[in-house]
Amino acid sequence: MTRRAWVAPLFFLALAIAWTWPAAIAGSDALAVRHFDGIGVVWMIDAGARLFPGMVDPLTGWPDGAEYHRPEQWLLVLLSPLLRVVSGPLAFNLLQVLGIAASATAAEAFARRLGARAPWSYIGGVAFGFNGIAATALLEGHVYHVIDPWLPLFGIAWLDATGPNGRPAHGLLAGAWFVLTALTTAYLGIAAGVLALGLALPALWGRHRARALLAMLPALLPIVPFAAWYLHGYAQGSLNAGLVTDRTAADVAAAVQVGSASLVSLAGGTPELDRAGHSVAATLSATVLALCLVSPWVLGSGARLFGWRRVLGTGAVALVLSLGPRLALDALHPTFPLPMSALLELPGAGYLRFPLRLGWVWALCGGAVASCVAQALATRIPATGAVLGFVVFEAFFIVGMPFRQQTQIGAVPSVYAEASGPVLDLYPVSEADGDDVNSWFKAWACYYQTVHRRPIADHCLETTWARNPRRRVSEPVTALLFAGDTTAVRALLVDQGFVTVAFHPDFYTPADRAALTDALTTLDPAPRASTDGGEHVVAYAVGDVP
Amino acid sequence: MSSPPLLLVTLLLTAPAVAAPETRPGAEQAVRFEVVSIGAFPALRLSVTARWLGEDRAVDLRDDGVAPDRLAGDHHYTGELVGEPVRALPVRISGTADGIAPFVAYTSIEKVAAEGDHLTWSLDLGDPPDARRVALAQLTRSVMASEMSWVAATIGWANFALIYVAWLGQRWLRERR
Repeated sequence: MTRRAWVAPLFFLALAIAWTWPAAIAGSDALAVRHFDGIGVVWMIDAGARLFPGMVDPLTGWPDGAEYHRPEQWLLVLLSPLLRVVSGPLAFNLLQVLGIAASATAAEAFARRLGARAPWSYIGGVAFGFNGIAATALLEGHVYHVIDPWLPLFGIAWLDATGPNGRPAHGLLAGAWFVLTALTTAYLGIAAGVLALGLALPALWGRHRARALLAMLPALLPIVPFAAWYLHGYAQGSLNAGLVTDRTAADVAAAVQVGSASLVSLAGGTPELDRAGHSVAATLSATVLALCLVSPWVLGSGARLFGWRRVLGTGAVALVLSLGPRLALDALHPTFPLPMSALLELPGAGYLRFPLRLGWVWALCGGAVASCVAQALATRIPATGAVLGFVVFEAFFIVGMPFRQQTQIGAVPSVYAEASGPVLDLYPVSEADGDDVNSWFKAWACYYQTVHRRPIADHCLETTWARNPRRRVSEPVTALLFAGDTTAVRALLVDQGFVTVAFHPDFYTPADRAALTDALTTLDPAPRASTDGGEHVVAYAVGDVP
Repeated sequence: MSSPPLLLVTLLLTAPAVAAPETRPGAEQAVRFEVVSIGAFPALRLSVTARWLGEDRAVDLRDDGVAPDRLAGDHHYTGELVGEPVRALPVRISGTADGIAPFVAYTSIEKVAAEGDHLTWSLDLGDPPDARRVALAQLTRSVMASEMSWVAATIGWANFALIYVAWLGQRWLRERR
C-alpha cells in the first residue's frame, strides 16, 4: 500500500476510537455498552466456539441444554475461537473500534468506486460508519452490526458486475461478500438483498442486459449453498418463534412499527430515548441528505459517474422501507401506510422486527452520492470544504456519540469461583410488561458463565422471560422455598442436576429475602458469599457434584 | 502522511480523554439521586433507601444548596451514596410533608452505570404521592419540553445544512453558466 492508502484507515481508526469511547481503553475491566444485549453478546463471543457446528449448548438451558440454531450473529460464532484468545470484554470493546473503522474505510472505498476522490470520499465513510444505526448498535451492544465492511465491499463488486464492463469474476466476488454480509446479521443480509436488487434491475433493463446477466449469475455460486445451509439451520430452531406465531397480524405490525425509523428518531437521540427507549434512533446525516437532494442538478450531466442514479435510488428505496409499515412521527403515532405494510403480508415477514436496519443501505448509498456531489461542488466553490466538518460534527453532536454511551462492570462475583457444579441463579421476576429487569438478570447470569464456565439454567439468546428455561426451575423452587418445603426443593434440584443455588438476595423485597434466606440456609447452613463483581451473591451448595 | 491528516489524527486521539465519560474500574462508585418536586410543600423531607451490596443504606435528599445539591430552594432534592461498584440498586423513595401522611413514592430496581450514575425523578405529591423516573432532573412536563426542544434543535441544524448546501448548489450553477 502507498502511504496515501493508509490515510483513510488511520483517519477512520482515530475517529472510531473517539466515537466509541471509552471502548478503546475499557480493556477487560468494563464493557462499553448501555443496554443489556451487549452483555449477552459477550456470552456469544465466549460460547460461539463450543456452539459451532451443532448449535446446541449443554451448558445453558440446564439440564436439557439449549439450541441456538437461529443466532443473529453468525460472524461472532465463527470468530469466537479467535476472539477467545483475549477476554470476552476486551474482544467486545475492541470489536467496536475496529468494526467501525473497517466499515467506514470500506464505505469510503465504495464512494471512491462511484467516482469520488479523497477527501470528499470520506463523507461516505463517515455517513456509513458513524450514523444513528451504528450508534444504536453500540448503545444496545449489538457490536456485530458494526463489523460490516462486507456491505460496501459487496456494493463495489456488484457495481462492477452490473456495469458495462461486468465480468463473471465480479459476480462471484459479490456473492462472497454477500455471504459475509448475511453472516454478520440476517438484517444486513436483507439490506444487501435490497442493494442487490436496486443495482441489478436497471442493468437488466439496459442495453447490455445479456452481459450483465452473465456477470451477475456467478454470485449465486456462493449464495445458493449458503442460503440452503442457513435456512436449514433456521428451520431447526425455534428461537423467538413466538414473537410471530403467538401474535396477531396487528400485533406483529405494531411490533415492526416500533422497530422502524420514525421521523423523530431520524432527527436524533434524546436522553429519555436512551433511558426508556433502548436508544433506537436511526439518525440521518442532514448534510448527506442535503447533498443528495441537489445531486440531480450537480451530477445530472456527469456521464463519467456511472451508476450514481441507481445507487441513490436504491438508497432512497431502502430509506422508505426502513420507515416501516406506516410513516410515523414517533413509534406510537403512525400515520399513512408505506410499502413495507404490503411486504408484511408475505409469510414470515414478521421476523423483520427492525426495518430501521435497512437504513444501512441509505447510509452507504447516500454517503457515496453525497461524496460525489461535494466533490463536484468543490471544483467551483471552495466553501464546499465546510461540509466535511459538518458530517463529522453530526456524527458527534447530532448522533451524540460517545456522550450517550455508558459502561458496565466487567468483573464477575468471586463466589462463583468457589461454588461447584451446575448453577441455578435465583433472581426475582418482574411481571411488569416491558420491564427490562428480567433481561438484565438473564444477561448477568450468562455473562458470569463466561468466567465460571459451569452449566446454568438460562437460554442466553431468548428475549422473553416466558420462554427462558430458567423459569421452569426457578419458579417451582421459589414457591417451594416460600412454603418452607426444603426437602422438596432439594429433591427437585438434585433431580435436575443442580449443585449450587446462586441467590441474589438484594433484588428481593425484605420480607421475601428473609423468607428465602431462612429456607436456603436449611439446605446449606454455611453458604459462601461475595460482594465484588457488582453484586451481592450467596452460593448455597444443594447437592453433590456429579 | 502529510501533516494536516497527522494533525487531525493526533487531535482526535487526544480529544476523547477530555470529552468522554471517565471509566475507573475498581474505583468507588458514586450514585447521585435527585428528585424534583412539583410545587413547594412545607417541610417536605425526602430520603432514598437503597440495598447496596447486601447492606441497607439511606440518604436524606436535601435542597439546601450544599453539595451535592446545587441551589437551595429550587425544589431539586439531592443526595449521594458512594461505595464499591454495584450493577443495580433496589431503590425506595420515601418522604414526609406537612398535611401529607408519610409516603413511599417510588420502589424499583435501578441499573447503575459502572462510571457512576445520576438517577432522577419527578415527584408529584398528589394522592397518593408518586415519583416518576425521568432522564433529566426536571419535572415531567419539562422533560417532555426538553425532549421536544432537543428534536427541534436537530431539525434546526438540518435546516441549516440544507440551506448551506442549497446555497452551494445555487452558486455552483451560477458559476457553471
